Amino acid sequence: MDDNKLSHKDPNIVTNILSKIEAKFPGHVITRGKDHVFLGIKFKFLDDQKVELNLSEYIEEAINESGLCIDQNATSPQATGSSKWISKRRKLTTKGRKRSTQ
Amino acid sequence: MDLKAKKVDNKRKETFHSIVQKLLWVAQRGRPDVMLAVSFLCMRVDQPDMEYLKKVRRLLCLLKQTINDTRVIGADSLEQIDTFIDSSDAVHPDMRGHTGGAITMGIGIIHGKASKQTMNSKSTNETEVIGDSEYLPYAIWVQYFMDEQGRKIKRYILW
Repeated sequence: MDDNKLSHKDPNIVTNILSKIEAKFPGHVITRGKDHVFLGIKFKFLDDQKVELNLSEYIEEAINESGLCIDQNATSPQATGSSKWISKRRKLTTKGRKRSTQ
Repeated sequence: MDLKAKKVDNKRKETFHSIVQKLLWVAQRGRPDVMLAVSFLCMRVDQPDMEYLKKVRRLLCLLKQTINDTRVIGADSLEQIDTFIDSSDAVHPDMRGHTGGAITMGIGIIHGKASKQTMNSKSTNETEVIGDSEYLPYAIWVQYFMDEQGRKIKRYILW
Protein backbone atom coordinates (compact mmCIF):
# COMPACT_ATOMS: atom_id res chain seq x y z
CA MET A 1 0.00 0.00 0.00
CA ASP A 2 1.79 3.14 -1.14
CA ASP A 3 -0.93 5.41 -2.52
CA ASN A 4 -3.85 6.53 -0.41
CA LYS A 5 -6.75 8.94 -0.50
CA LEU A 6 -8.30 10.44 2.59
CA SER A 7 -11.42 12.60 2.52
CA HIS A 8 -13.76 14.15 5.05
CA LYS A 9 -16.09 17.13 4.98
CA ASP A 10 -14.20 18.70 7.89
CA PRO A 11 -10.57 19.47 6.91
CA ASN A 12 -9.48 19.54 10.60
CA ILE A 13 -10.19 15.83 10.97
CA VAL A 14 -8.02 15.10 7.91
CA THR A 15 -5.23 17.24 9.39
CA ASN A 16 -5.53 15.38 12.68
CA ILE A 17 -5.30 11.92 11.05
CA LEU A 18 -2.41 13.06 8.83
CA SER A 19 -0.42 14.27 11.83
CA LYS A 20 -0.99 10.92 13.57
CA ILE A 21 0.16 8.96 10.50
CA GLU A 22 3.12 11.30 9.99
CA ALA A 23 4.19 10.83 13.65
CA LYS A 24 4.39 7.06 13.20
CA PHE A 25 5.53 6.80 9.54
CA PRO A 26 7.31 10.01 8.52
CA GLY A 27 8.29 11.00 4.98
CA HIS A 28 5.00 11.15 3.09
CA VAL A 29 4.27 13.22 0.02
CA ILE A 30 0.93 14.82 0.86
CA THR A 31 -1.14 16.93 -1.50
CA ARG A 32 -4.25 18.76 -0.34
CA GLY A 33 -6.71 20.98 -2.10
CA LYS A 34 -8.12 20.87 -5.62
CA ASP A 35 -5.22 19.38 -7.62
CA HIS A 36 -3.77 15.92 -7.07
CA VAL A 37 -1.63 13.32 -8.79
CA PHE A 38 -2.74 9.80 -7.86
CA LEU A 39 -1.50 6.60 -9.56
CA GLY A 40 -0.23 8.66 -12.51
CA ILE A 41 -3.60 10.35 -12.98
CA LYS A 42 -3.86 14.12 -12.70
CA PHE A 43 -7.04 15.01 -10.82
CA LYS A 44 -8.52 18.46 -10.81
CA PHE A 45 -11.60 19.16 -8.71
CA LEU A 46 -13.55 21.92 -10.46
CA ASP A 47 -15.69 24.47 -8.66
CA ASP A 48 -18.95 23.27 -10.27
CA GLN A 49 -18.72 19.83 -8.55
CA LYS A 50 -17.02 18.11 -11.46
CA VAL A 51 -13.77 16.17 -11.58
CA GLU A 52 -11.29 16.40 -14.43
CA LEU A 53 -8.90 13.51 -15.14
CA ASN A 54 -5.85 13.61 -17.38
CA LEU A 55 -3.20 11.00 -18.16
CA SER A 56 -1.07 12.98 -20.61
CA GLU A 57 2.20 11.78 -19.06
CA TYR A 58 1.34 8.15 -19.70
CA ILE A 59 0.42 8.94 -23.31
CA GLU A 60 3.72 10.76 -23.82
CA GLU A 61 5.57 7.82 -22.28
CA ALA A 62 3.84 5.40 -24.67
CA ILE A 63 4.62 7.65 -27.67
CA ASN A 64 8.31 7.90 -26.71
CA GLU A 65 8.55 4.17 -26.07
CA SER A 66 7.05 3.27 -29.45
CA GLY A 67 9.96 4.84 -31.35
CA LEU A 68 7.49 5.40 -34.21
CA CYS A 69 7.08 8.66 -36.08
CA ILE A 70 3.90 10.07 -34.53
CA ASP A 71 3.23 13.20 -36.55
CA GLN A 72 0.09 12.55 -38.59
CA ASN A 73 -3.44 13.54 -37.85
CA ALA A 74 -5.92 10.77 -37.18
CA THR A 75 -9.66 11.25 -37.33
CA SER A 76 -12.18 9.78 -34.94
CA PRO A 77 -15.89 9.12 -35.56
CA GLN A 78 -16.61 10.44 -32.08
CA ALA A 79 -19.48 12.95 -31.88
CA THR A 80 -18.84 16.43 -30.56
CA GLY A 81 -21.25 18.54 -28.56
CA SER A 82 -24.19 17.35 -26.54
CA SER A 83 -26.54 14.71 -27.85
CA LYS A 84 -30.32 14.58 -27.85
CA TRP A 85 -30.55 12.22 -24.89
CA ILE A 86 -29.21 14.93 -22.53
CA SER A 87 -32.37 17.02 -23.04
CA LYS A 88 -34.46 13.82 -22.73
CA ARG A 89 -32.72 12.99 -19.46
CA ARG A 90 -33.22 16.53 -18.11
CA LYS A 91 -36.94 16.26 -18.87
CA LEU A 92 -37.13 12.90 -17.10
CA THR A 93 -35.24 14.07 -14.04
CA THR A 94 -37.29 17.27 -13.66
CA LYS A 95 -40.52 15.25 -14.08
CA GLY A 96 -39.31 12.84 -11.41
CA ARG A 97 -38.48 15.69 -9.06
CA LYS A 98 -41.93 17.20 -9.46
CA ARG A 99 -43.56 13.82 -8.84
CA SER A 100 -41.51 13.19 -5.71
CA THR A 101 -42.33 16.59 -4.24
CA GLN A 102 -46.09 16.24 -4.77
CA MET B 1 -8.01 -8.05 -40.46
CA ASP B 2 -5.16 -9.16 -42.71
CA LEU B 3 -4.23 -12.78 -41.89
CA LYS B 4 -1.27 -12.67 -44.29
CA ALA B 5 0.38 -9.67 -42.62
CA LYS B 6 4.03 -10.15 -41.64
CA LYS B 7 4.63 -11.03 -37.99
CA VAL B 8 7.00 -8.74 -36.07
CA ASP B 9 10.25 -9.73 -34.33
CA ASN B 10 10.52 -10.38 -30.59
CA LYS B 11 11.87 -6.96 -29.66
CA ARG B 12 9.02 -5.14 -31.38
CA LYS B 13 6.56 -7.60 -29.90
CA GLU B 14 7.71 -6.70 -26.40
CA THR B 15 7.49 -2.98 -27.16
CA PHE B 16 4.01 -3.47 -28.61
CA HIS B 17 2.92 -5.36 -25.48
CA SER B 18 4.29 -2.67 -23.18
CA ILE B 19 2.63 0.17 -25.14
CA VAL B 20 -0.72 -1.63 -25.22
CA GLN B 21 -0.57 -2.19 -21.44
CA LYS B 22 0.08 1.53 -20.92
CA LEU B 23 -2.73 2.48 -23.29
CA LEU B 24 -5.08 0.09 -21.50
CA TRP B 25 -4.50 2.00 -18.27
CA VAL B 26 -4.93 5.32 -20.11
CA ALA B 27 -8.17 4.14 -21.76
CA GLN B 28 -9.65 2.75 -18.55
CA ARG B 29 -8.90 5.78 -16.40
CA GLY B 30 -8.70 8.89 -18.53
CA ARG B 31 -9.71 8.23 -22.12
CA PRO B 32 -12.69 5.86 -22.36
CA ASP B 33 -13.23 7.05 -25.95
CA VAL B 34 -10.27 4.97 -27.17
CA MET B 35 -11.38 1.85 -25.26
CA LEU B 36 -12.63 0.12 -28.42
CA ALA B 37 -9.32 0.53 -30.26
CA VAL B 38 -7.35 -0.57 -27.20
CA SER B 39 -9.53 -3.65 -26.69
CA PHE B 40 -8.76 -4.73 -30.27
CA LEU B 41 -5.03 -4.15 -29.74
CA CYS B 42 -5.13 -6.17 -26.51
CA MET B 43 -6.24 -9.27 -28.40
CA ARG B 44 -3.02 -9.30 -30.43
CA VAL B 45 -0.36 -8.71 -27.77
CA ASP B 46 0.86 -12.31 -28.09
CA GLN B 47 1.24 -12.26 -31.89
CA PRO B 48 1.30 -8.72 -33.28
CA ASP B 49 1.90 -8.18 -37.00
CA MET B 50 2.74 -5.16 -39.14
CA GLU B 51 -0.95 -4.32 -39.52
CA TYR B 52 -1.33 -3.98 -35.77
CA LEU B 53 1.78 -1.82 -35.53
CA LYS B 54 0.05 0.52 -38.00
CA LYS B 55 -3.06 0.44 -35.82
CA VAL B 56 -1.17 1.30 -32.64
CA ARG B 57 0.61 4.12 -34.51
CA ARG B 58 -2.72 5.55 -35.67
CA LEU B 59 -4.07 5.38 -32.13
CA LEU B 60 -0.96 7.14 -30.78
CA CYS B 61 -1.41 9.85 -33.47
CA LEU B 62 -4.99 10.41 -32.30
CA LEU B 63 -3.94 10.50 -28.64
CA LYS B 64 -1.12 12.93 -29.39
CA GLN B 65 -3.35 15.39 -31.21
CA THR B 66 -5.92 15.25 -28.41
CA ILE B 67 -3.43 15.02 -25.54
CA ASN B 68 -4.95 18.00 -23.71
CA ASP B 69 -8.45 16.53 -23.74
CA THR B 70 -9.57 15.74 -20.23
CA ARG B 71 -12.16 13.33 -18.94
CA VAL B 72 -14.82 15.16 -16.93
CA ILE B 73 -17.01 13.33 -14.43
CA GLY B 74 -20.00 14.95 -12.81
CA ALA B 75 -23.71 14.56 -12.23
CA ASP B 76 -26.79 16.65 -12.91
CA SER B 77 -29.02 14.39 -10.84
CA LEU B 78 -28.09 11.71 -8.31
CA GLU B 79 -31.52 10.07 -8.60
CA GLN B 80 -31.15 8.63 -12.06
CA ILE B 81 -28.50 6.51 -13.75
CA ASP B 82 -28.53 5.99 -17.49
CA THR B 83 -26.88 2.96 -19.03
CA PHE B 84 -26.05 2.69 -22.71
CA ILE B 85 -25.31 -0.71 -24.25
CA ASP B 86 -24.81 -1.70 -27.86
CA SER B 87 -23.38 -4.75 -29.56
CA SER B 88 -22.06 -5.72 -32.99
CA ASP B 89 -22.52 -9.22 -34.32
CA ALA B 90 -19.65 -11.39 -35.63
CA VAL B 91 -16.96 -8.71 -35.81
CA HIS B 92 -14.16 -10.95 -34.57
CA PRO B 93 -12.30 -13.66 -36.49
CA ASP B 94 -13.89 -16.32 -34.27
CA MET B 95 -17.34 -14.89 -35.14
CA ARG B 96 -17.98 -13.49 -31.69
CA GLY B 97 -19.63 -10.14 -31.16
CA HIS B 98 -18.36 -6.99 -29.48
CA THR B 99 -20.14 -5.08 -26.72
CA GLY B 100 -19.73 -1.50 -25.65
CA GLY B 101 -21.38 0.11 -22.67
CA ALA B 102 -21.33 3.24 -20.56
CA ILE B 103 -22.99 4.45 -17.38
CA THR B 104 -23.66 8.13 -16.79
CA MET B 105 -25.29 10.45 -14.29
CA GLY B 106 -25.63 13.31 -16.75
CA ILE B 107 -22.12 14.73 -17.11
CA GLY B 108 -19.36 12.52 -18.44
CA ILE B 109 -19.41 8.77 -17.93
CA ILE B 110 -18.71 7.14 -14.59
CA HIS B 111 -17.94 3.75 -16.14
CA GLY B 112 -17.30 2.58 -19.66
CA LYS B 113 -16.29 -0.69 -21.26
CA ALA B 114 -15.80 -2.15 -24.72
CA SER B 115 -14.93 -5.82 -25.00
CA LYS B 116 -15.27 -8.96 -27.02
CA GLN B 117 -18.21 -11.10 -25.98
CA THR B 118 -17.43 -14.26 -24.04
CA MET B 119 -20.19 -16.29 -25.66
CA ASN B 120 -20.88 -17.35 -29.23
CA SER B 121 -24.04 -16.06 -30.85
CA LYS B 122 -26.02 -17.08 -33.90
CA SER B 123 -27.74 -13.83 -34.78
CA THR B 124 -27.70 -10.08 -34.17
CA ASN B 125 -30.62 -10.46 -31.76
CA GLU B 126 -28.69 -12.94 -29.65
CA THR B 127 -25.66 -10.66 -29.71
CA GLU B 128 -27.70 -7.76 -28.31
CA VAL B 129 -29.06 -9.93 -25.48
CA ILE B 130 -25.59 -11.29 -24.65
CA GLY B 131 -24.25 -7.72 -24.72
CA ASP B 132 -26.88 -6.54 -22.25
CA SER B 133 -26.23 -9.50 -19.97
CA GLU B 134 -22.46 -8.79 -20.04
CA TYR B 135 -22.66 -5.08 -19.31
CA LEU B 136 -25.70 -4.76 -17.01
CA PRO B 137 -23.86 -6.11 -13.90
CA TYR B 138 -21.77 -2.90 -13.90
CA ALA B 139 -24.96 -0.82 -13.78
CA ILE B 140 -26.22 -2.94 -10.88
CA TRP B 141 -22.91 -2.50 -9.03
CA VAL B 142 -23.12 1.27 -9.48
CA GLN B 143 -26.65 1.11 -8.03
CA TYR B 144 -25.44 -0.90 -4.99
CA PHE B 145 -22.52 1.51 -4.53
CA MET B 146 -24.81 4.54 -4.58
CA ASP B 147 -27.23 2.82 -2.16
CA GLU B 148 -24.37 2.23 0.29
CA GLN B 149 -23.40 5.91 0.00
CA GLY B 150 -26.88 6.78 1.20
CA ARG B 151 -28.11 7.94 -2.20
CA LYS B 152 -31.11 5.96 -3.29
CA ILE B 153 -31.35 5.75 -7.08
CA LYS B 154 -34.95 6.24 -8.16
CA ARG B 155 -34.71 5.59 -11.88
CA TYR B 156 -32.50 3.22 -13.83
CA ILE B 157 -32.73 3.67 -17.54
CA LEU B 158 -31.26 1.33 -20.12
CA TRP B 159 -31.02 3.02 -23.50
